[in-house]
Amino acid sequence: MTTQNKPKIGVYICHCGMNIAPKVDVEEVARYIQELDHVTVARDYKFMCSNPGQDMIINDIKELGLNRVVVASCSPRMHEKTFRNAVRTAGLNPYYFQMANIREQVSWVTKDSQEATEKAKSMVAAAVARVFFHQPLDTREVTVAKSVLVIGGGIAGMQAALTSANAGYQVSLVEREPSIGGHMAKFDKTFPTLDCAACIMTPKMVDVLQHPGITLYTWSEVEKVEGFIGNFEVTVKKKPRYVDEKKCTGCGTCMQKCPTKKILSEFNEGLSFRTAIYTPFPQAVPNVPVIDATHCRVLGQNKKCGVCAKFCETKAIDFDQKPEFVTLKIGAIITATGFQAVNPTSLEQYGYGRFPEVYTSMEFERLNNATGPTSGKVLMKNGMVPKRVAIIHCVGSRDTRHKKYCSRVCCMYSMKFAHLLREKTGAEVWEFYIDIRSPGKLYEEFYNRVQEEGVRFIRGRVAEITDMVEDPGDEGRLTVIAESTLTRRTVRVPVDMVVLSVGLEPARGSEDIGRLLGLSRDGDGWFNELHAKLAPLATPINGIFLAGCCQGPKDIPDTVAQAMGAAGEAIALLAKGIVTTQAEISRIDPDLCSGCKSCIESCTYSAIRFDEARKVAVVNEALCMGCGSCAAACPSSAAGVKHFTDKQVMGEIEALLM
Amino acid sequence: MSQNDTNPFSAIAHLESIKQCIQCGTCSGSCPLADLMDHAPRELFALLREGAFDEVLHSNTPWFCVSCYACMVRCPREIPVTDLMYAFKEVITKQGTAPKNLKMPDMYQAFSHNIKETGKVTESQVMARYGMKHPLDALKNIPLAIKMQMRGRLELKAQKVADPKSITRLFELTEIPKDKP
Amino acid sequence: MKICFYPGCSFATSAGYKESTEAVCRKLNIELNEIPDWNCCGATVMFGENKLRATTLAARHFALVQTMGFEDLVTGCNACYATLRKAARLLDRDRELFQKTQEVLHNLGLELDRIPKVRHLLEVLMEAMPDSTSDKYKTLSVGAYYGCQLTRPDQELDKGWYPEILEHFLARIGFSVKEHSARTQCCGASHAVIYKNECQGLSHRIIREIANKGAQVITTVCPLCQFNLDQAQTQNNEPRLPVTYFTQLAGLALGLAPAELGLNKLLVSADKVLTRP
Repeated sequence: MTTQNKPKIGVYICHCGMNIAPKVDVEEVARYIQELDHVTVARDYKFMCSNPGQDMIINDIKELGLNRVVVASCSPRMHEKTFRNAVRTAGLNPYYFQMANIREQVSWVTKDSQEATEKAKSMVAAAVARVFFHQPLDTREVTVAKSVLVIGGGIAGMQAALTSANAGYQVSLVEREPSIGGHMAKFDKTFPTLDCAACIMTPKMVDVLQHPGITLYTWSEVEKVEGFIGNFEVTVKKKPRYVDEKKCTGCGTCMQKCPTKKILSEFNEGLSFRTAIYTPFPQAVPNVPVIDATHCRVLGQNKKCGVCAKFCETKAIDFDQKPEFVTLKIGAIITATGFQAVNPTSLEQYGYGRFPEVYTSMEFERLNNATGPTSGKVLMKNGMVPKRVAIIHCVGSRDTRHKKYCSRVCCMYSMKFAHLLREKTGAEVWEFYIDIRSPGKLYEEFYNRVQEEGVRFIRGRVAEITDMVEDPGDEGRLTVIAESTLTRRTVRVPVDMVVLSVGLEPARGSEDIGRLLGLSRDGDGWFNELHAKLAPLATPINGIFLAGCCQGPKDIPDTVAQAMGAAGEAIALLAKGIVTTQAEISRIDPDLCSGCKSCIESCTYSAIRFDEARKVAVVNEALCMGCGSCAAACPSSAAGVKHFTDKQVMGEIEALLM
Repeated sequence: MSQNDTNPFSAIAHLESIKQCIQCGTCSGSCPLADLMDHAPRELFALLREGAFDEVLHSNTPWFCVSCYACMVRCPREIPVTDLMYAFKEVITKQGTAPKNLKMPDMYQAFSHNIKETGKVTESQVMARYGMKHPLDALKNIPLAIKMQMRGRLELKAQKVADPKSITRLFELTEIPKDKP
Repeated sequence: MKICFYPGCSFATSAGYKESTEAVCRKLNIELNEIPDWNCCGATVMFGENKLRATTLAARHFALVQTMGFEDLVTGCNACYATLRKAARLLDRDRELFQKTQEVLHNLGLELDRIPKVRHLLEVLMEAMPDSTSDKYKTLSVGAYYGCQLTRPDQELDKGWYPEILEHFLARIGFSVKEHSARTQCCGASHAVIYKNECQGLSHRIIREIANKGAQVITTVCPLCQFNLDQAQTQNNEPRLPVTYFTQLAGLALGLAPAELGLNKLLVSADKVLTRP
C-alpha cells in the first residue's frame, strides 16, 4: 500500500443549497485549501450528499488516485455514513475520511460573512491535517438476540409488544403497575370518533396476556441494563405481589373480605376507595391482585389479620414473598414509559385542592367512566347533576412558569368532555381557551360538531376561580373570571363544576429509566429522539427505540402509529440478525500495559478484562463503546481509542490554532 | 394609524418581553379596574407590536393600574405587566400625552408636588392641591375628613423632612429634559 | 431585638397602627429605631413619573440605614414595602441605575454602598410573638386580609394569591381564624379618592366575602388597606366589620388594653366584638 504512505487528499466544500454558500465564500475556501500540502484537489459543489456529489468523490478517487477524503458540509451526525459509504464504494477504507462541520458550527452561527469564511478555512484545514494521520480500520459483525424488551404497558407499550410478537419475536413487557393498560384504561370515550376506550382497549390487553410470544411482567421494574445493541442483558425486578400468580384464580373474594377498605384508589384518581389487597380495576390484566404492603395490617402494621389468606380457596396468598430478579437476553429495547398529568396545585388562582368542585381532567375521566366512582354519572360531590360547567384549557401548558410547551391533546379532550357533558347532563358548558388546536384527521370537524351542540367557547385564559359570591343566588357555586378577549369584556361566570385541562409531563421515574438506558432527555424531561425528522423513533443509543408519550405529548392515534413504527425498527434489526460493531474502539498495547487495572475500574461498559497469564488488560471489542475513559485513566499511555489517536487529535488541534 | 415613526417606548427595560405575548387575556381578567380602561393591558402590547404608538401614548390604561401585581404573577409569558404600566406612564408623562380629561395624572402630580415640597406626603395637602383642579372630588371627601378628624386621624399640618430643600434638590437632580413636542 | 424602622407617611395618622406597634414592641423588648429624617417612599406614583427619581427617593433610606449600621429595614406598610423592595431589586440588577443613584445621593451628602434587606413588620412579629397560652380570644373569629403588595410580585414571604402565613400567625397567638378567598384581592386604595364608586365596590366585595365566611373582625397589615376597608363601611350599612391591625390583635394577645392599642380610632368600632363575653 505504498500509495497510502504518500497521502493524496481530496477536499469537497458543500454549499448545502443556501445553508452554507452565501454566508461562507465556498470558492475562496476551496482556493485556500487547494494550496495546502498533500491536497490533490479541492472542489465546491451545491449538494455534496446528492448522487452527483458522491459520484464526484468516487470518480476523483479512481481517476486522481486519492487516498484520503475530506468533506466540509453539515454535522457528521447527518451524513458521515453517506460519505464513508461513497469512499468505500470507490475501494478505499471508509476511515480514510474526515468531515468538517461548516454548517451547524459555522454558517448557521456566525453573523459576519468574512468571519465565517475564515473560520471555515481553518476548520477544513484542521480536517485535512487530521485525515493525514488516519489509518484503515475494520468493523466486526455480531449476532443479535431475537428478543425485544418493552418498558411500559400503556397503549404504546402494548402495541409495540403485539406488533413485535406478531412478527415472530420473543417479547418481554415490563409494567410497574399491577395491571397493563396505562392511562388509556382510565378513559371513557376517545376523540374524535368517540369510540369507547374500554371496547378497543380491553381486547388488546387480553391479546397481550394470551400471546404466546409475549411474557408479561407486571408489578415489575427494570433494574439493570448491560451490553449493547443486539446483545443487551436486562435484569427485571418482580416486586412481591404477595399473591401467587399461578395459584390465583382471580375470584376476588380476598378483595371483598379485606377489612382495610379506606385507601384512596389511584386508578380512580382518589375519587373512591380500594382495599389493601386489590386489582386497580375490574378488567385488570393480569386479573391477579397485589397486596399494598404499606396499608396491609399484616405487612404494614404487624397486626394479626390474614383474612384474605383465610378465605383464599387456592391458598394463593403468600405474605413471605420476596422480590424476584429475572435476567433476560435482549436484542432491542422499546421505551414506552409515557406521561403523567401535571398537578395544578401550584396554579393557586384555580383553587385546585381548595374547592371540591374543581377537577383535573384525569379526575373527570374517572367521573365520567362507567367503571368510575359514580358509575359514569357526572355528579358533584353533593350528588347533584351540575347545571353549568366550565372547562379550562392550557392549565400548566403554554406557561413559562410551568410547562412552556403545548400539550397537544388538551384542546381535543376538552371538547370531548364538553360533548359528553352536553349529552349526559344537558349542562351548559363553557370552554375557556387561548387557541383551539385541532390539527388531526376529523379533529376540526369534531370542534365544529361541539360548537353545533351549543358549547360556549370563550377566547380567554381564566384569570381566577373563586368561591366569592356576587349574587346571593349563586351561594355555593364557583365563579370563573376571565377576559373574553374577542369582546374585550371581563366575564364572571357562576358554575357548579370546573374541569382543569391539565397538561402532560414525563412520567414519574423516567429520569431513572433514562439513566439505566443511557438516554438523554430534553429540557422538559422527554426522551430525545436521534433525529426529529429522519430518525424520530431511534435514540442515540443503538438498539433502543421510543414509542408514545415518553418522547413528547401525543394523542392515541399518534401513539399507536409510533408504537408500530418503533416495533418496525426493532423487527428490522432482529430480522437482519447481525449488527456491525463500530471500529472506533479502544485498544490496549500489551507491551506498554503495566497491569495496574485503572482502565478496568474506569470502564462503564465492563468491556475490559484482565489477562492473568500475561498480566495485561484486554479489551472486549464487542462491548467497547469507544468512550475513551480507559485512555484517560491509563497512566502508561497503553490504552488509546482507534480513530482518536494522539497524532490525529493533536494534528487537528495544531492546524486549528494556526 | 400612528403618526410616529419611531417607537417612543423603545428605551423601556423589558419591552422586548411583549413580543412573547399570546393575547390570552390573563392580565385583563386579573385586573381590578380593567372595566375603566380604554384598552386591555394586552391590547397595549398588541398596539405597540403593530406600531400604533400614538394609541398607546393617549391610552388611559396605564393610569388605571392599581399596582396589585396580579397580572404580573400570572402572566404565562412572565411579562412584567405592572412594571411596564409604570414605564408607560413615565414615557407618557415625559411626552405630555396623558388624556386631558383624565383625573389620575392630576392626582399623581399633586402627590409628587407634595413630596417635592416637603419630602413627605400629607393626605390633606395632596387633596387640597388636587382639589384646586377638581373641587367636586375634594368636597365629596369632606364628610370622611370630619370623621377622621374626630378620631385624631386627620393631619392638616404638613409632615416635613428636616431639610425639605434637599428633597427638592433630589427632584432637580433627577429631572429628565422634556422631549420636544 | 433592635430593628431599623421605616414608618412611612400613613403610619402616624393610621387607626392605632403606631400606638399598637409601639406598645407591642415595648412589651416584646423590640427596640424600634426610626430612620431619622425619613421621606416618602414615592408609593405607586413615583415609578410612573421618573424611574431614577423613584429609585433615589427609596434609596435615600438605604443610605440612611447604612449610616445607622443596620442590615435590614423594617416597614409596616405594604405600599412602602413593595416600593422599597422594587427599588432594591432594580438597584441590584441595574448597575447603571445604581451608579446614577449613588451620584445623586452623593450630591445630597449621602453615600450608598449596599442595599439593605427590606422586611415587613409582620415578619418581625412572627418571630417575636410567643404562642398563646390563653383561651380569651378563641371565640373571636378573624379574617386576615393581606392586601396585594405583601406577597406580590416577589412571592417571597408566601404564595402570591392565597398566602397562609397570617392565618398561621393569628391561630398561633390565640385567635380563631376564618379562611376566605379575598385575602389578596385589591381594595383599590391607590384610586379610591377619585374613582370612589368603583373602588368602594372592590372594598365591599372583600368585606362581604370575609363576613360571609363567618369572621367578626378583619385584620390588616397595611395602613392603606385598613383605611380603605374601614372607610368603605361608613357609607354602607351592612355588613359592618371592624378593621384592625395585626399589631392590635397581637397587643390584645399580649394582654394589653384596647385603648393602649389605639382601637378607639377605628371608624367601625371594635368595642362590641372585643367586649363580648
